[in-house]
Amino acid sequence: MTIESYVQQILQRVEISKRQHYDLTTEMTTYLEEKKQHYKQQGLSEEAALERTFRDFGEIEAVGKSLSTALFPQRRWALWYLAFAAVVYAVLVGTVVAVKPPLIWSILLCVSALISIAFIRKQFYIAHYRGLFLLFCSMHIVLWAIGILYLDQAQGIVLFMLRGCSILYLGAIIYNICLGALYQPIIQQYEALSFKKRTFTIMINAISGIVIISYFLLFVAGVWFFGIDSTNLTYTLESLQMLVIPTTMLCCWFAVIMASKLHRYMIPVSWVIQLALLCAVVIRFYS
Amino acid sequence: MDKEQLRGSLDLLVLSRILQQQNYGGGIIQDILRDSNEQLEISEGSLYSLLKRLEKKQLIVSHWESTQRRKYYQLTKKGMFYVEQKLADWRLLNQLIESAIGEDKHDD
Repeated sequence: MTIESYVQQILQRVEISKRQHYDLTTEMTTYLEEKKQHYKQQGLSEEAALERTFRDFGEIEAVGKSLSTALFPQRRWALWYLAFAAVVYAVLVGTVVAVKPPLIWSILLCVSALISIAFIRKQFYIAHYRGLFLLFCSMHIVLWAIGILYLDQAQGIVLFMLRGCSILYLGAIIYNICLGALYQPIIQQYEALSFKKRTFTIMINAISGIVIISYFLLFVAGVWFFGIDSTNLTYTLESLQMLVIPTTMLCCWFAVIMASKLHRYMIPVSWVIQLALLCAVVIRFYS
Repeated sequence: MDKEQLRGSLDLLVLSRILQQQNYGGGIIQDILRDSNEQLEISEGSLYSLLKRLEKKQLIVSHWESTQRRKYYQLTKKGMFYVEQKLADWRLLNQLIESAIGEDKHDD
């Protein structure tokens, strides 16, 4: 094994930005090269010097774990929490309710839990492919939402227990989504913010996102189930018109989030617009 | 050395080493391991992680040395204050232990 691959294997276990990854690679490689040269000067062969250098530095797993704990301790526990919550949710909903969800749903949840555990050893990919990780979290949300459809068959204490479990599972998903943005932001504008401001921004983004996307999906579901009539085109078109405002709101929200990533002065503006959008949804919902 | 005892003192050990003079990561690790006469059963990688943790806690800052590809670490004001506090605590504890031992000897 070369020094480069040894360092890369260690850093695969740590969720860090590209800049931090480059810095750590350079720093550790330089140190290990110097150590190897030191042993070679003492008369050891290339292979023996390398082996001694790696032995002194420590096992890949142990060093990776200690670096991950030092730089981003929250992610390891968040991923364990997500995996555990997914399995418990799959087992409870799959066994307790009268009409059971399809087996493929339970299998997908367990596979998602296994992928979450795999991410613990490959945290590097979470930082470098944040989009894919968010897609993976979205898959968890879809599976969670499918499970919710089966909950109402339960009653009394069982229903209460299942709802509690579903809230914990949703919490695990949202926690994992927000963690990266909070502690290892890949967007430069967010990285420049203080921790408090960043937390506030993420919170606003998450709350407004959940409310506006749910509002949009609610209307889509309503139109899908009740608004489409193949024999009555006028009725269908009138129903589709109901989607105009939710779609506009969703587009506005998306544009505001994208704009806040362009310049840091846009971040406070995005707070105001998102709050205005939230108020608009609440007013429309209750009127 | 007892691992629990070591874990509690390792931060102070590294910080006091940097307090003496700014140094690069490898240099700090080598100095600590050399001075301990291999009493410390801790890997270099773990000491590296410790440096990163102290940097994250803003007790130390680092900068690149342009010619040697080495990253040098030095204490921040917060780090200096932390070291002073910890050293005072450590000295007080040491004094209490020494005086307790002294009293025992006196009783004998």
